[in-house]
Amino acid sequence: MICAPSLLALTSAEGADPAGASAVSYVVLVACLVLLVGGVLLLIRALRGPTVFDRILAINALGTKTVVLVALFAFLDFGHADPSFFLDTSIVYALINFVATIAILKYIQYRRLS
Amino acid sequence: MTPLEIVGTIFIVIGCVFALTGAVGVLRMPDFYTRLHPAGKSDTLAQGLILLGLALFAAQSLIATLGAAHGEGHGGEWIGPVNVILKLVLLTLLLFLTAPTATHAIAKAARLDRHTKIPVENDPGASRVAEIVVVGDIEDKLEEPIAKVLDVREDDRPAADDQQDADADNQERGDDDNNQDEETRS
Repeated sequence: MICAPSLLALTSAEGADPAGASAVSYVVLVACLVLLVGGVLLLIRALRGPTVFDRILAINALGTKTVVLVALFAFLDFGHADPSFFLDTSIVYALINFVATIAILKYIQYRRLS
Repeated sequence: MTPLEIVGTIFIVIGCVFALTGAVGVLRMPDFYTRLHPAGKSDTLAQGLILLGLALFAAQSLIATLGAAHGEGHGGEWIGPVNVILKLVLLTLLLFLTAPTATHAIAKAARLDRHTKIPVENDPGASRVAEIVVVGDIEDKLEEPIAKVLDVREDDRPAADDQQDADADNQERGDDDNNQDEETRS
């Protein structure tokens, strides 16, 4: 984790605009770490939740955080790689997260999915 | 850093603060219905702010490529950053629609589930949200505090018994009337 910003700074220093790219990469990296800490807290609630609805709520919030995290991964080396493929992954994950939450709720309430 | 990137950084930092406080709230709130609040609201705002900041980064890249294209004289490079910005806007709209809908569905499913007792903390004054009942469960008013409702029930118990006896008498009389009617009909 400590060597990652230096690696980013090195790779961005070889690019066209070294200063701006490295600053954006640092911001995105710090945001990724903060979101990972929040995801760990949500995972604790998902493991500890007294009812099944606490777990579903925590997993749903964790899925939203994962969508944002994948979108942040796209901008980690923004000056060099095309981030649109990561954004495609993020959009698909948002759709799957919503549908999975509704499906799990329906299964718990009716014990079947049809 | 350019001014657009600085504004995007500010948005991302605010979004990260909202995401972290939402996660801490989900972890530390006392019961389920209070946990819905940070999970539903702060996460929606956090993802909106973070994706807006990323869109500002992409807009800075768009401005840079436009300047480079004007300098070199061939177009077409602007399609990549515009694609990224449109995908970020689509993602923001999608999450703004689906995240509150999923939270609402979770809340309603938990409310309609009769077999799972949503645990409230030991202090009845901690949260009375879990005591809200579906119309038709009991006939008490929803706004009254729990202790008051319990006292009212204790006081009204003999009166309710009298009413039940009166109802039973009425039913017996009604049965007698019905029998008489049947006899007269026959």
